[in-house]
Amino acid sequence: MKDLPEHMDARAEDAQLMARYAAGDMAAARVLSARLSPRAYAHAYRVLGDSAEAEDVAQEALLRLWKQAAKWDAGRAQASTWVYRVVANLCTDRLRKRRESGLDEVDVPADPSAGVEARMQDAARYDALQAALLRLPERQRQAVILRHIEGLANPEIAEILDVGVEAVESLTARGKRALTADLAAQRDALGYDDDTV
Amino acid sequence: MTQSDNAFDLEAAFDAARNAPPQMPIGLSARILADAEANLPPAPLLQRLMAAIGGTASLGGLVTATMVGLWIGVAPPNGVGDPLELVGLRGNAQVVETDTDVDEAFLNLSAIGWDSEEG
Repeated sequence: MKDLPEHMDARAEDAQLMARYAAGDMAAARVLSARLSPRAYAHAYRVLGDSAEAEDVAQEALLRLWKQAAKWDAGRAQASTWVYRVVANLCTDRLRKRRESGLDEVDVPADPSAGVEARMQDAARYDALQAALLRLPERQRQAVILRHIEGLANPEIAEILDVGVEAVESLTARGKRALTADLAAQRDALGYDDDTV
Repeated sequence: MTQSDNAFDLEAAFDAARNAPPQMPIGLSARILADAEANLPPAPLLQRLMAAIGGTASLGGLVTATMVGLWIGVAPPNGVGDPLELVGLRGNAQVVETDTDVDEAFLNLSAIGWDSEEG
């Protein structure tokens, strides 16, 4: 496939790839998939905490992207933002269904116990954070992951979560405070005095 | 433990998470590309026509053949019937004349012995 011009911004680049795919260019689909699938899967996994569900969500989000290709508007959201938004909504739906079916939204124990202690002692900092993320309210969780792990800017997060930029700032600030308190409480309860958490 | 210590720990945890993203399960990428292939939009009409005639490589020959055919229709060489007569757009007088031309052409061939049988 022909290389894309270096000066092209991400939105125009995505639009051109979508146009190429719509014209039957599978090479463009491969580029889009390589860029977007890992991010879709990673976000779904971090929000849901379940690999199988994250896999379904990522595949569904990309499927919806392919179906949009023929009518893709170059002036609309960047394809990556669009996919993040679909992933966020699919995760919200799944978490809602979990609640409605009576299953716990989070299968990670909130209180320190022998199981948690063993987990915390053996786990890397990443695992402790993931467990704490799963204990956050869903909207705070999504905002914190998008801002502090995926590294997106607040306006893009606002577009993904369909809220204002101020709401994103509030969600991330509250999320960070809750995470800090959660991790500190776990560490104190478990008697940690090192820096692994 | 101070609050700033906790905040620092959180940033380090974010860094760790950012540097170790969850890896996609084996096969997911292939399934996503299979979806892309299955949902490939139908090609535009012009593109399908080009494919039907053998692509752009055959386009030059097609254009040449079309132009030759058009020229033969506009100015048919001696011995070739007027296509306008075939579709009834020109009178029979032309047909008679054309037949005469054909006969003359045949006579010319006989004169040089092309119509004689071998042996």
